[in-house]
Order: sequence, then structure tokens, then C-alpha cells
Amino acid sequence: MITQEVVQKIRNIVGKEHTLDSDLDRFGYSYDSSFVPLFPASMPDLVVRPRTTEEVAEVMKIAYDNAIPVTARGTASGRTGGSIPLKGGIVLCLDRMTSVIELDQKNMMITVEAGVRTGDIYNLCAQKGLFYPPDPASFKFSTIGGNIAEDAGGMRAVKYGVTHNFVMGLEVVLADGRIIKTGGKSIKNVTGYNMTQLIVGSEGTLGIVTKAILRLIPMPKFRNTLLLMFPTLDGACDTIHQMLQAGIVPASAELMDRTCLKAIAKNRKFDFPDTVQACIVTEVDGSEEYEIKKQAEQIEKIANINGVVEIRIAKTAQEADDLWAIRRALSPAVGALAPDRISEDISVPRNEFPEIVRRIRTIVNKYNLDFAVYGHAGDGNLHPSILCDMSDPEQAKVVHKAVDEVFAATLELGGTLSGEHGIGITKQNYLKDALGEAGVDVLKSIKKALDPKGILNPGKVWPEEEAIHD
Amino acid sequence: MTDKNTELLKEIHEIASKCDRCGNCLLVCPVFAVNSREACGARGMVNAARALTKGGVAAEEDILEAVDYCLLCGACIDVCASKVKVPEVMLKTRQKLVHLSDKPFDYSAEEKEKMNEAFDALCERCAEIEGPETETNRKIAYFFGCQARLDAIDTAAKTVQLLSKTADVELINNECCGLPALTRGHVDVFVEDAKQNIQLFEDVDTIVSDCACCSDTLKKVASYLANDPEWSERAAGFSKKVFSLSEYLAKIGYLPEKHEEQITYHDPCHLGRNQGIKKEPRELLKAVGGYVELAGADVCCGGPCFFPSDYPETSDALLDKKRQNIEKSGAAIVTTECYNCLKQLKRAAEKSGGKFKAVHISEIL
Repeated sequence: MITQEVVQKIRNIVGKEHTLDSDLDRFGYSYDSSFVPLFPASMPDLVVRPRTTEEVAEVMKIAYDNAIPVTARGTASGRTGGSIPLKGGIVLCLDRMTSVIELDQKNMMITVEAGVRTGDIYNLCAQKGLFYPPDPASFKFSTIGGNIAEDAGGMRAVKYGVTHNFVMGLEVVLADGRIIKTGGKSIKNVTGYNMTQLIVGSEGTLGIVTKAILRLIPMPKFRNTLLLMFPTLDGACDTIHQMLQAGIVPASAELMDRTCLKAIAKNRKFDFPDTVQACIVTEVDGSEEYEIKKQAEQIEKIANINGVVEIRIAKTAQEADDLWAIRRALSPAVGALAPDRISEDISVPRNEFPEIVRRIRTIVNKYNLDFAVYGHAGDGNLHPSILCDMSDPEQAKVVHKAVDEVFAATLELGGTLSGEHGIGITKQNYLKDALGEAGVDVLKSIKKALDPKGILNPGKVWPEEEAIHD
Repeated sequence: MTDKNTELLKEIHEIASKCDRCGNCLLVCPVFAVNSREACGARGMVNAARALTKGGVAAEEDILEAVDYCLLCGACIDVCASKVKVPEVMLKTRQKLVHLSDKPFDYSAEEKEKMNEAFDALCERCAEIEGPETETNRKIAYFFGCQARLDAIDTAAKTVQLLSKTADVELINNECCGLPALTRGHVDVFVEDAKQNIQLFEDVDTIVSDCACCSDTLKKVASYLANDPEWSERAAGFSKKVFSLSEYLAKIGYLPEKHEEQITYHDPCHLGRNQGIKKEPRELLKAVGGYVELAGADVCCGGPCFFPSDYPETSDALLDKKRQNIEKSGAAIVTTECYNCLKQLKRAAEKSGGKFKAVHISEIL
């Protein structure tokens, strides 16, 4: 699909060593961290690793002129196939664009290139007493560009919000290679359409994000982490429900069921009483010590009303880190429990959290499937994982049925099918159910306007119907 | 395809398919920090192995090249939520593709002669050593590794001298532990070496090795011969007798003499990670005197078997990071318990212009 002449032009732009075309190299850029099967591999024709916005723009211009599909990629830690190149073409890997342009302490904003790891942003800001809250489980390794493309969430969303709440402005390379800047540092800014918020979460289908201006908040001075273990899932869910109603907004409140606890205990030392069916890890933060003490006391009270079996409170920063490390390791640990794992990312209005968990349990039990439930109980976003063996045709059939029913239940309760992982490849079939036909048409019109040739991450978000124009 | 080959592919698939490509390993993979192409990091290497089991994805030569770049340090496993056994799958892949490799896996004839002479030299030097001061029934045998034979006979002599304070030390002209062959995928050669060593040490109760590569590999002999009905029991017995130097000294409660200078310690991957021996050398060194912890003490020095000659640039880049950390620690001496690491650290000492010295832990204790 890409002529040698074009390959040479690209080599001249980014350098020979950053233009990869061997089979093995291309295979390395054909997968991400989703459950999209590795084989048959969705091989790109070429992997291009630019260092500057100018290089990205020049490469995009060539791609546009030659109608070559382009799939942007950070470090491929995504969970929905967003960076998998479905139609070959170029994988545009931005992980070399790691410059921090400016940390503006006065305005509490940081400007970074798309390839900067989110964890590095957090650390850099923390050193200056500033806080970049969004913390998807992959934050140490994922790039801010990827987070922006998928509007990544994370455990702190319950109190602070998600990625889009912190993006003030972007530098974007359009499909035809032109560069635009959206938004800016001004707190108040309405100049044309809100392109910044359109691009965030657009999964690389409307433009290539090369730089971002992120707003920061002062780092909370005090933090405390609590681990609460319950004999019933309901007890755990109701605790969070009542906490929020009582006006206690934790910085994060994560739920894990018994299957998750067992998965964790397989790979690290972690003891829990036999009666425990669910566990909550929650963090409270604030600017005064008495504030967090009071919140912890209130949480303990509510937990006791709901039958809590054990409460662990972190006494040092290291203990708090250890409690959170458990939660962050959860997803891969659960994935290793069965040959296959179908994990979803549903989100319901906060008050419906206990109900959706009950409905999922009913559905999964009906089909005799094993499952694990964990999620951001504080904000209504959860990740039910169906553990199965998809090579068993009987199981494969019922798993799909189960997922359909889970989605239906979610929509019934006023929820959504994609809380924070995006649609990508894995959730395309449900888009029409969620948005309706007019809703999907609006998306398509916008896509047509910004990417008339359809070269940006084709095949994502909705199933492609039209071929690429030549 | 032979049964053994099919079995091997199945084993590779079993390990590699546990990877869910989260990418956490790439945060700590030392070679990925030097060379950030996907195929040059732990995640890429594991999935290259998976591609091998699928077949038809990439040329087998390219897959071998990718898995050859792995240091086998195991830093990835520390942070992997699924604990994918990366070094193991790398070795199995090299074993599967061994027919495609023309890299040397054994010592040359000249080196082998030198190593034999080294044994005689060691025996000579140790003839003068006195036995333990206090009465003891302890009898141990010293495993004289190949790297020590080739360029560090003096250090080996120091170890024997040290050991002689604690027990009656027997010197046996052992075979190579087999790690070089194993590293290159020549498992059959490794197994031959192992069988020789099992026989040579049959009458010995305790084997002490002062090279992490050797002690680790000798401890693994049991698992490699577990399915051989004729050898499995003897192999199990053999591996149980093996102790690393600091492991042995800690076990018998050895008290070292005091030393003035500030000392730090580099964890050999084969000792700290593979054998879980991290506390013992540190406790011993703390008893010696001014011990300071090295930043990134357990990050690979870039010197494992064949790596510096196969990938000089990467090896140097890793060594440079190690050198900077040692200089930052302020220590006058860096110690370790591996002859491959020692060789590498001595190069670092040279590059630092004499800011620190690199010695084997036996020269301090």
C-alpha cells in the first residue's frame, strides 16, 4: 500500500532508524492491552516514530496526499483497541515526544508533548506542590496523548473528574498536515467551537494531538487511605452510596469482589478473612489534618452500620502506596485467572451502583459463568469481568449473550457502555443503541468534516461503511 | 516436527500468552531504556516468542535476534501483575531456535587449557592456607567458576582463604556450570555439564560458589533433570547442596573483620532476583563497617554472559548508569558476588577515573 518512494520520503523526515518496516517490528506495533486477539495480526505497513510536531505534520501531509491510513499510538496500554491499526497504513507512534515544554506555577498549568508519561507529569507537578489528578491504572506507563485520546478516567474521578476536566488547550495536527492550536491558558475562553473538548476522547479519529496544556490544582496536604472488608457485596456498595449521600466525597473509592481478592493473593502476600466477599479501598484528602480525620471517622461509622468485618488504615505513606499497588495490579491479575476475560467498562449514575452489581450477578449466574467485579464505586464506573474460555464454542455463545444483557441493564438504568476506556474496536456494535441513529449520524458528519479522506484511525468508534477515497 | 519441539512450543505459548500487554515491564526493562523500539523491550520480546508459536508472522531469525537481546535480568517480573516468566520464555525460545544460531556457546580450546592450568594454580596457592582456627567438622567444596579461572584466580584464592576459616575446604576440578550453553539455547550441552558436575561432587555435602551465575545455575540443575528417571534424584540432591558465598556465611553466622572505608553493594541479577539472596550480603557488609546503599543496586550492570561482546553499546550504556549511581553513593568500594558483574564493575571503576574500586565481596569480608 505504501510505495518505496513514500517510505523514503518519510525516512528523510523522521530518520531511517525511526521508520520501521520489518515484519517483527511491525508486529510489535499491531497490538495493545485490549482483549482483541493478537492473531491474525493487524499489521501496519510502516511504523513511524517522530520526535517533533513538525515531523508529525510533514508525515501527515504525505499520508493525506497518498490516502494512507494513520493510527496514532502512545505506549499501547489502551483497553479497547484504539491504537490497533485495523486498515494497515502507518502507525504513528508518539512515544518519543517526551518534552515538558513548561511548568507554569503561577497559573498552575503544565504544557507537555503528547508522549510524556502521565506518571511523570504527576511526579513533576508533585515536586512543586501541584497536583494533576487523573490517574488511570496505567498512568505510570501510558502517555498523556493516549489519555487525552481516550479521555481516560482513573480512581480519582469521583472527587476530581476525568482527563477532559483538566485539558485547557491542545496542539493538533489535522488529517491534511495543518497544525491548529485549540483553547489556551485563559480560564475564560469562548472563541469559536470548543474544539479542545471535541478532540478529547475522539480516539485519534479527528486529529493527532501533539501537545497539551493541562490545568493543575494545589496538592492536598493530607491524605489517608482505608481498606474496608465486607461480608457482602451489597454491604460494600451501600457503604459507598451512603458515604456520598452524607456529603463525604473521597478522593477515590474502589470496589473489589472476592474473585479479585483471590487473584491478588495469588501473586502477592495478601491475607483476608474467609467471610469477606467484597473490599473497598478508599482515599480521603484535604488541606487540614482534622478534615481527613473526621472523614475517616464518618466512613468507619457508616461501614460499621453496613456490617464491615475488618478496617485497615494506612499509617505511613508507604502503607498507603502498598494498598493502592494492590488495586493497580488488579486488572492483569484478574486477566490471568482464566484463558479469556471479557471485561467491560460500564458507567451508571452513582446511586444505581448497587443495583447494577445485583443485576450483573443475576445475569452471570443464570449462564453459569464465573466473574469478577471491580471498579470505581465512587463514581458509578465499574469493570465487570467475565472469566471464560472462548475456545469453548458453548461458552462463547453464552458469554456474548451475557454481555448483551449486561449492556441492556446498564442502559436501562440510565448508564453508558463506555465510562473511560473508549469505544475503539471492542464496543462499536453498541454505539447505535447508546446514541440512537441521529446521534451516530452527527458523529459521522463531524468525522467527515475533519477527516474527509477517512485516514485517521479508520475502523474505530463505529464500523466503517465507506471505503477510503483515493 | 519432533515431540520435543512441539512440547517446547507449547511451553513457550503457555508462558507468553499470560502477557496482557499492559506495558508495565517497559518501565523497568534496562535494554528498553537504551533502545525504545517495541521489539527491544520485555513486552515486545515476550510477544515475539508468542508470534513464534503462531508461525508465519515474522522470520524466525528476526525472532531469535529479538529474544537474544534480553539480559535475562528479570526486572520485568518484579512489576508484572501476572508474573510472566520472561527470562524462562526467552531461554526456551533460544532453545527452540538454536539451529539458527551460529554464535559461540562454549569456551575455546585455548580458554579451556587456561582454565585447567588455573585450577592447578589455585591448588598451589591454597596449599599454604591454614585450616579453621576453632575445631569444626564442617567439610565443604569450592566450585571454581570459569570466569574466575580466566581472569580472577587471586580473587578465587581469597574466597578459598575466607572459606578455610570456617571449614575444611576441598578443591574439585569442576566442569563449567553450563550457563553459557544454556544462555545460547544449547540445553543438551548444559545437561552434559550438569551430569559431570553431579558426579564430581557426589561425595560432598556442601558446595559453595562465589559466582552468582554459577550458584544460580547449579541450583537449577534439579529442575532441568526432573523428568529424567535416571538422574532426577541425583540432580535434586545435587542442587540442594549448593550455596552462594554470602548465603553460606550468613547461615554459619560468620563475623567479618572491620574495614575503614565506605562500602556499597551491587546485587547480581542471578543472586538477588533469581535466588532471593539480598539481605545476607548486606548484613555481612554492615558488620564490616561503613555500608551505604546503592541507588538502583539491583539494576542489571549490563555484563551477563555474552552480552558485552554481543551488544557493546547497550552494555556500555547500562554500565554508565551503574557507574553514575556508584559515584553518587560516595562509596570508596563497590562489592558484588558475581564474576561477570565484577568484570563489568571494574571497567566502571576505570571509567570513573579511580573514584571507586570494584572488588569481590570475599576480598572485604
